[in-house]
Amino acid sequence: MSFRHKGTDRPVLRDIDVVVEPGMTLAIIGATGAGKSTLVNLIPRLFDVTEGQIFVDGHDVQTIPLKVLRRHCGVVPQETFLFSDSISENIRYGITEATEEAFARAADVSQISLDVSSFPKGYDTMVGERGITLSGGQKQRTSIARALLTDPRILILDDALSAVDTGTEEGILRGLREFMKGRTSILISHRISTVKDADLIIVLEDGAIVERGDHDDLVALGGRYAQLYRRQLLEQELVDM
Amino acid sequence: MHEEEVLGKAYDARLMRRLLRYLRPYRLQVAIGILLSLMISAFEAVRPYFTKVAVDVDIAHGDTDGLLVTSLLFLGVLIVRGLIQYASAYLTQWIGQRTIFDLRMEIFRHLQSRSLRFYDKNPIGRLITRVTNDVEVLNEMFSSGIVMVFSDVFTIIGIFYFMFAMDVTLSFVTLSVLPILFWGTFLFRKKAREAYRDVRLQIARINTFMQEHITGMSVDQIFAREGRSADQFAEVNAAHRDANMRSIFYYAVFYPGVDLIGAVSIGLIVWYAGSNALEGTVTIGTVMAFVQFNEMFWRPIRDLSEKYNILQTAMASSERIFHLLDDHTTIATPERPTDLPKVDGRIEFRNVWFAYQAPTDGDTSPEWVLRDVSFSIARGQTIAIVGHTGAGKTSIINLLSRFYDIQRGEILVDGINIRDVDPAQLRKHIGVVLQDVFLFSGTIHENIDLGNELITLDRVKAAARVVGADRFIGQLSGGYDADVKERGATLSVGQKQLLSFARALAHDPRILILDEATSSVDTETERLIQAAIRKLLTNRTSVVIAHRLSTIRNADRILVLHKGEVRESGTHAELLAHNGIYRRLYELQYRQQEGEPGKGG
Repeated sequence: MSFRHKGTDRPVLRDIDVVVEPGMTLAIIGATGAGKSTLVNLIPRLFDVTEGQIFVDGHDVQTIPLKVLRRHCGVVPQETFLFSDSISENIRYGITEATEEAFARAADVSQISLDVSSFPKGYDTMVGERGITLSGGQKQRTSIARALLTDPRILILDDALSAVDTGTEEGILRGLREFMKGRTSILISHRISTVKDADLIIVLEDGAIVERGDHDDLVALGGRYAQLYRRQLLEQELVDM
Repeated sequence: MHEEEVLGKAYDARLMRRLLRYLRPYRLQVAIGILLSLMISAFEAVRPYFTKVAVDVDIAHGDTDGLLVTSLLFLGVLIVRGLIQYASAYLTQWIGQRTIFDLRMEIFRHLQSRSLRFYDKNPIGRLITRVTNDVEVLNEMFSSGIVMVFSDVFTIIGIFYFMFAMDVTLSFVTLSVLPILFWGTFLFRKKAREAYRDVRLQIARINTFMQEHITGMSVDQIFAREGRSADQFAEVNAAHRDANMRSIFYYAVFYPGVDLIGAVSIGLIVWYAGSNALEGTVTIGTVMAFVQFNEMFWRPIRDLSEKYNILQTAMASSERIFHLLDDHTTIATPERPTDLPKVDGRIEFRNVWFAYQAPTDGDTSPEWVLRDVSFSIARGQTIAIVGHTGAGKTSIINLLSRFYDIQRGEILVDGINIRDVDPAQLRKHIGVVLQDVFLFSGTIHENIDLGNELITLDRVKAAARVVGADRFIGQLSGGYDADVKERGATLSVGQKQLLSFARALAHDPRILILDEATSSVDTETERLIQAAIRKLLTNRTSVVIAHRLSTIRNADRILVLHKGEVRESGTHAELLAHNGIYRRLYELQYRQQEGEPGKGG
């Protein structure tokens, strides 16, 4: 599977040209407003490109029936949104039937299972207004489990680990790598720690790709990525002091 | 269930006693109001009596002069009754409006004296609901509720009195349907209330569902759930429709039902009195009077059950209002505050520990935001506080103005513990310039002098000139009298900051707290702001949360706050040489300002 996006949505994205091979992990990094979310939202067609084309398995996404396209995309949006329902219903949101095994796996990989085990009502715990308030990290993990349960061919995580602490993040990423074998995944993040193991990293700035390569390439390049890397090392040092 | 949805008891003696206290200043007016309604009731009840006299005495005897006198008397009674009704309606509304005016003032004053801790816990929307909706509900009770209940009760008593005075047996015949009416009304109220509650609940469900699914529309689309969500909505929507239909059914049955009972009652009067009238024991006039009585007492009885609803919502509202008024999160003013008319500007933090969540019993280690913080500032000195996100910089500002009280340690101004000073007096000496400039609706100069009458327009202008705000103010149409619209939406970020500097300078505080804004402005404005800050800091004790390299370099001393502790302190050069936290902060936050026009300082 491969997809090519050659979009030009003038103000937001310009001349994006990238190929992701099946099973590959693409990471997108860049400042707020660089167009990262817009870029990934184009794949399940939450928006349509204004110029250029996006291909999935060689088919222009505009020619694939919307339902089919979206069924194969598992998206964890940046703004975590859960419904006022049980945790179980929220995880099952994208799918009508799921086996116990698949459910358990999704919950384990996202590590929401660890939190749920401490709730008296387990997965039947209600969230939102008429239930308990989940922390930002718990919400994000529920949202990840929801996407994983749909068994997507393409998994998109839009800054989906931002509220998760670095230790937990490490564990989730390890699980995800296993889960994503043979699937294509796209990660968006501000954190170098999230993206450093990706097969390909692109740095977006003002809607255009300014750097691309893997972690070592980009650090060696000494550009934006390297600068961000240094800053995050420094911040880590500060936090540890 | 939502706090707002709760329907409490209809009557709670404790709450009622407390509510009645608000009527106390107006007890004379309340007494007059009750007296007036007593008179209205009397005039109301006497009406059928005139009918009886006209028919039985005047018409029966063909006395046209007598009929004229009776008619004129009747007219007179109606006119007087109308006048009294006017006075009564005016008076009850007058009482209601005064009472809620007082209550709103009390709530507002109460809110003004709350500590910021209180606002951390209470969402603004909820507080506004208290001051508006809940108070409005009480207005209904105060104005139409209490006095009108007396009126209804008196009217019923009056009607009964005249009925029994005319004919005891016929009275019993007429009132024989009353138990059915009471039972019916009771049943209706109960059912209607349940239905009403159900409708409210279903509306809330529709709102929640809509709100959620509109906010989460992208989730619905990504997971291709549109179909199932529509099915879910159909369910919620149908439940709402059915609840409404139930409620409509009860109303549709009740009102015709009441009419039917009334008709039965009239039938009974005609049947009984008719047969007796033929025998001459009951007069035609009495029959006519009773038919009128019969129509008259349905209204107050129906009204009374409506008052029951008003009372019920009023109880729920008053409970919420009192809950708010009973909050004790305040910054305590000492009983005998140390007078602090003038300050020199010496500041000292002595082993200060602070947490936003006050430690509760059994919780010995709250989340400390500041731990054992100590430092002192001599008069006229500028100290810059730097630190990473969450280091506790903002807390220091909040504590110095005593927006929160600390848990351990002491904060001293001129050697006096700020807890021993009246907070209002303390804050007079402290000028605060925050990142987000808050502008009120009003003119430019009102936004600079903030209503302080001691600040003349000349002083306002001078302050604006010093900070360099005069140029853009001059360009506004109206100049210093120009209106600030929508909290300054038409002004740029830089202009708003200059305005806030002018504000601080015009008040000329001995102690200045400055939380530098991080938002970037154009080079020209940046130059203006830097120059203004320098002038602002001159000659007063200043605490600055610094984001500008220039400000840091001009400070007498830099405090490095890290994880709630003062970890380093010294001058820029000293700290850089130390190669510790400051060095890293510098690399992260300030270094790129080096060499930037204006920012390098």
